Amino acid sequence: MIHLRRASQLLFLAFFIYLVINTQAKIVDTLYDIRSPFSVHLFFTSNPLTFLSVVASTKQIIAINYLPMLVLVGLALVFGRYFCGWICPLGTCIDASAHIVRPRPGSGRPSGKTAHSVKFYVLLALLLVALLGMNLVGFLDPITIMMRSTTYSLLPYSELLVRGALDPLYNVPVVNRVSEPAYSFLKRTVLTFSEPYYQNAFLFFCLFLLVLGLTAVRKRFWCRYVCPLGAFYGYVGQVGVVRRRVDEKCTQCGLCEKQCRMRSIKEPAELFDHRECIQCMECQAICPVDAIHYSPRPRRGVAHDTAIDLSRRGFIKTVGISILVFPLFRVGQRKIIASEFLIRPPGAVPEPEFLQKCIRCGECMRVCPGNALHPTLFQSGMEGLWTPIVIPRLGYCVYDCALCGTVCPTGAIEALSLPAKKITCIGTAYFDQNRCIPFDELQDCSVCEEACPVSPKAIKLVPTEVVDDKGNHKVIKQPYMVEEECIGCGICETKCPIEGTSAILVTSRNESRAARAQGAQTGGVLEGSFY
Amino acid sequence: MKNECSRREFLKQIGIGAAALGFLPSTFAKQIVSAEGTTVPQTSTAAIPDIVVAEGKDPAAMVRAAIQHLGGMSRYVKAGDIVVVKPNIGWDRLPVQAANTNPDVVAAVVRLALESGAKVVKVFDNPVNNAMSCYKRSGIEDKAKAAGAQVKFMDDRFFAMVRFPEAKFLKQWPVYREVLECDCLINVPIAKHHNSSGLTMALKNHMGVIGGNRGKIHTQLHRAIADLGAQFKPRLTVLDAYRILVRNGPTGGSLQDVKFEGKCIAGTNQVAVDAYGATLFGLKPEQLEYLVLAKEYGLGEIDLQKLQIKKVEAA
Repeated sequence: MIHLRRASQLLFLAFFIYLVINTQAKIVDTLYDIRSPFSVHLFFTSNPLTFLSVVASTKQIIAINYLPMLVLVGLALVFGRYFCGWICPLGTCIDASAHIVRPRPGSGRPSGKTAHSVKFYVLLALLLVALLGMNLVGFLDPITIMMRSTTYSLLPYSELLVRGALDPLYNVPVVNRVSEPAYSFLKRTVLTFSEPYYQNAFLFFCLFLLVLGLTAVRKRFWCRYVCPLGAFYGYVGQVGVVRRRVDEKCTQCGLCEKQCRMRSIKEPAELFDHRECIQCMECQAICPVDAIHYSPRPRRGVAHDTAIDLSRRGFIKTVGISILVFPLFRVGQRKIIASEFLIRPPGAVPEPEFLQKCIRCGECMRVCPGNALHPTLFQSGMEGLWTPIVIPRLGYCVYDCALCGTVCPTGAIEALSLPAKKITCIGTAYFDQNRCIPFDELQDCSVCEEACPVSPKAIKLVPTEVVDDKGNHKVIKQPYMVEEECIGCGICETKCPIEGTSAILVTSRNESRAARAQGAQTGGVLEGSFY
Repeated sequence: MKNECSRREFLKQIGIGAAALGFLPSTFAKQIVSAEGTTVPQTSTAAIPDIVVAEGKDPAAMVRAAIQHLGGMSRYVKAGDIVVVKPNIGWDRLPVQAANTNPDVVAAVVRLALESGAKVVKVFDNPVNNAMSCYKRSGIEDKAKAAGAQVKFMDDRFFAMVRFPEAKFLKQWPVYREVLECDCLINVPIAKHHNSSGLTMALKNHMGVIGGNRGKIHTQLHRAIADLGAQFKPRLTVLDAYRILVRNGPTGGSLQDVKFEGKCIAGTNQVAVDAYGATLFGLKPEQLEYLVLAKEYGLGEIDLQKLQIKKVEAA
């Protein structure tokens, strides 16, 4: 059974990575599409935690295919918290990390019930805060963590490794006969077409290492004490019928208790907490007298479950702390001047609703063929940390692509038809005439005008007579903006040939979604339903 | 124990070797190649005109007719040649939007080159938009591949810094190696409006075989285009004017910007081809500054009166 479980873990991890890799733009019959019929979407639409949280924060039902989620939750009613031990890709990575960072000796000492109950309070707090209208689940949901880590850091890192290993060989005789075909094969199949880049990628790598590194303190530290999805499955799965049963052959040798990665087994060995058991079945394998079985029926002998005591006091404390802590995320936000560089992807719903819906999974960023989308820092406050933002200097929104809306699992970015997307304004560009070549250096340039994808162009050139330093009169073409044509795609900013900061900059001015916003937006001060 | 040490030593050496190899590409990239432009076979036969303008409704037929009247493809492509066919695949646009060379024109040129015994025909461009999208959505990748061409994305590693001996502005610039190393370059641009240079046709199309910060050369674009013309002299230029983009160039976008022209202009002198191309847009060749410069450089004739132009109908 252990082999079966490991196979399942590896399979789902591989499936997850496969889906992330294939959540990549390609062209099918002249249209932008993703590489495979499924995207990593599947892992989010089947995730009850992110789903509940979005439903609680928006008080709306999301239109998704519910089948995968019903299957996963349904299985929990039979097999308890099997998800953590058999499916969760982060759990698999954590298990694997235990082979590298071995838990400290002595870390096996019993952890108090309180520590184990933390994750339930985390879950409770996240859902409470969501009910109050703030969606923070993405910070702690394991699938989201896994997605962020893979998309922003692990995949770009592996691509760097592959490119770094094969690139230098291209000019080496004989070797390149093997390395170049291998390279082009990888480019066709696994590698992202243009090397993906995300700002602060290293930070996400560190956070991933942190989650895995906690294993050094306790096995499955994250899953035992923190994980809200684990808490969800533990809570729902406590009615599960297939559970660990100990029969009378048990000699109380204590082996199972010692090796249990979740520390769900207490002394005596019949006692264990079903909400903590992830059905890894290691105890069954390790038992020297074959006294442990996972089965739906109690064997002869007693099998007690000791449930963690979620006390009334703990509950009240959590409610209190949630209510006290959550406004912290909005301190300084009520009248803050909305950052003009907060450019959301096309189809993004108005900002307050966007923040309620976005789970910061980064699927839109993964799929973006222009590599325009990046995780935010604080342009939308602490509450908006790691949500998607267009950084036009790094990449532009591709005119004929609307993929971000089609992969968004929560409707934070609405799926737009292509004609609708092409007239959706995400911002407006302006010229910095202090740096723009035709103004500052009195020379022609017009790169931005050339690249502008709308017709008629949003950037026009006006022939202007200027006198240069030698007193020569000459006519150069100076650019200007036609605001009502600009959709803010940002290719002008990406392609501006000047070094460093572009001489044409896109801001969120005139964004289409602002017109839909319920709270009035006056003079750049965000008010109304924001808090 | 001893074994382990030597293994470690071995691995260390491998590591150092790999690190050294890592420096190789950059060394090569910095190496300055003084390549001569591909030489133009001078048309000595009086029967062969300077320019052939084929008119019709079928892009492939027009290409065949035009090249036929220029003496046939075998005049330009010899058996065993490595041929580069350089279309304009600059933008993420569909063929009907006329921002890239018509894919059927590219495919027809590829077929003719292969029929003349070319060893391999390579098709590539350095697009402004994402290369994957441009290749696919222009239709060129699929149709050129179907015609037998090798269609590859340009690779950052395969550029060499090249001195441009005749240039006044672009003294040296990174150039794609496959262009330097080919036996025969065939330029297959589209004729379209281009706000900063007036029109983009054959000479301007060479912007797609160079790398570097190409935005920077827009400060003296006309001069740069003439310099490129002095550097790259294709044996054959096939100007696609099946659909032409008459405004909002070079990207266009709206079908209102596209005009059906139904022409294909072929010639051995790219400057002469561009001079004729200007007339499609109601311009005189002298109105394009880069053509005037090219004429000054002695790259070709832009006075249409002095050119032998043959018009043919392509069924």
